[in-house]
Amino acid sequence: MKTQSIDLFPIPFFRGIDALSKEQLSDIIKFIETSPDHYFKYHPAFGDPENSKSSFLPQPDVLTYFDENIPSCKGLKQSIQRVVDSYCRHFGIEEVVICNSWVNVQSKGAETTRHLHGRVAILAATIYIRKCDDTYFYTPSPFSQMIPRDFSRPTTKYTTDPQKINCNDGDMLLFPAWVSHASKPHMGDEDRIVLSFNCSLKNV
Amino acid sequence: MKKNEIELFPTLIIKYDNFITEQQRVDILNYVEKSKTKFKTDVGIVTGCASTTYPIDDLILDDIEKCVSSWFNIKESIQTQINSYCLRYGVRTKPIDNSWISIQPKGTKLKKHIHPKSTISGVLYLKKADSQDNTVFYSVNPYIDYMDKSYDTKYTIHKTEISSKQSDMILFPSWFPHDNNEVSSDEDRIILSFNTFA
Repeated sequence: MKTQSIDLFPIPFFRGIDALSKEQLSDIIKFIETSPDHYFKYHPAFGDPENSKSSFLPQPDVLTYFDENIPSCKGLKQSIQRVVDSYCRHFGIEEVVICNSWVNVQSKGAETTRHLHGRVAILAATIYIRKCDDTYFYTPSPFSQMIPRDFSRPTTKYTTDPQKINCNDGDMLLFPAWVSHASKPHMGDEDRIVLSFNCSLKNV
Repeated sequence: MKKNEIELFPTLIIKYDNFITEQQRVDILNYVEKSKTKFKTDVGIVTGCASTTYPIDDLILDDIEKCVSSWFNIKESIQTQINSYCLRYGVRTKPIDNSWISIQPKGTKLKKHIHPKSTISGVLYLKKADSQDNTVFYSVNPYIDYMDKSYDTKYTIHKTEISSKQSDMILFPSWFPHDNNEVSSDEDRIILSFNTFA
């Protein structure tokens, strides 16, 4: 008897390893650490006012800003857009373009509450500038918590929820904007820094 | 930059080709023919004049083991595969609970449904036209159509059918919505279905 395992309806993620070079990472960190206060504001999704700040509202397109102000990042937005194009072609999604991008800085105790980027965005992404903690992704299946998991064994790719994807500083994760995600409270002494961006339909 | 594709949160289906022998298939069809009194015809979950032993005799596997000699240990054979499925899926092993046979003549269609109170369900195809009347599974992802697709891939479709032939068996999570396309062949579609305890 021949058996065949079939995985139905998986959710596609792209992991870009070393999307940013060490030089770019170092320059971006330096740039952020010397940025004036008005560059950032508090955003409730990323922690408390005393332990987190985000450029989400005051600076809605940091990738263009980095392109223009950090020499090692010249052309960065365009090279990331090429990865986005490749994702769309590969997974069968209409063409999208990067529509906004921002940086979050989280110090000890800050956590990213569970959220998703769907509404305007089709795809979302995270680039780990100084990673420190993993991002956890949640299945959209309403049945996830109803299956009788075997707790005597490790979880499997069918039962793990939420799920994290191993990444390092400089890596990028690209995923559908409707996948909800979060991070646990940051416990390190160094600030956690991530760059995120959204993509919306190119031809609207 | 090196790129990896990663697939998150898939749903596991296992298909067993020729799970029963041709002799077993012939024997069970004879059993079905002789057991017509066990079948009822008012089947709400199927459009048209289908018939089923559910719920009149929903322990049909027990009766089959007694009455059809070539099927004397069929429950154990199915249970072995369920155990293997559970291990792979990552859920606790469950014993077979209820089981029933359904007959669908041409033009009937099984409506989309799930199997509440069960963990793993299965279908054993006793009679069907090859490549037709397959079981169709539906994504439970409410956002699946939110991504504007340029073409169909396994990531953008919201339903897919598992191609199977008679004597094949499939196992799947009981919460997974499914139906079948309208039976288009002149031959009846006859299947044996089963659940496991939740």
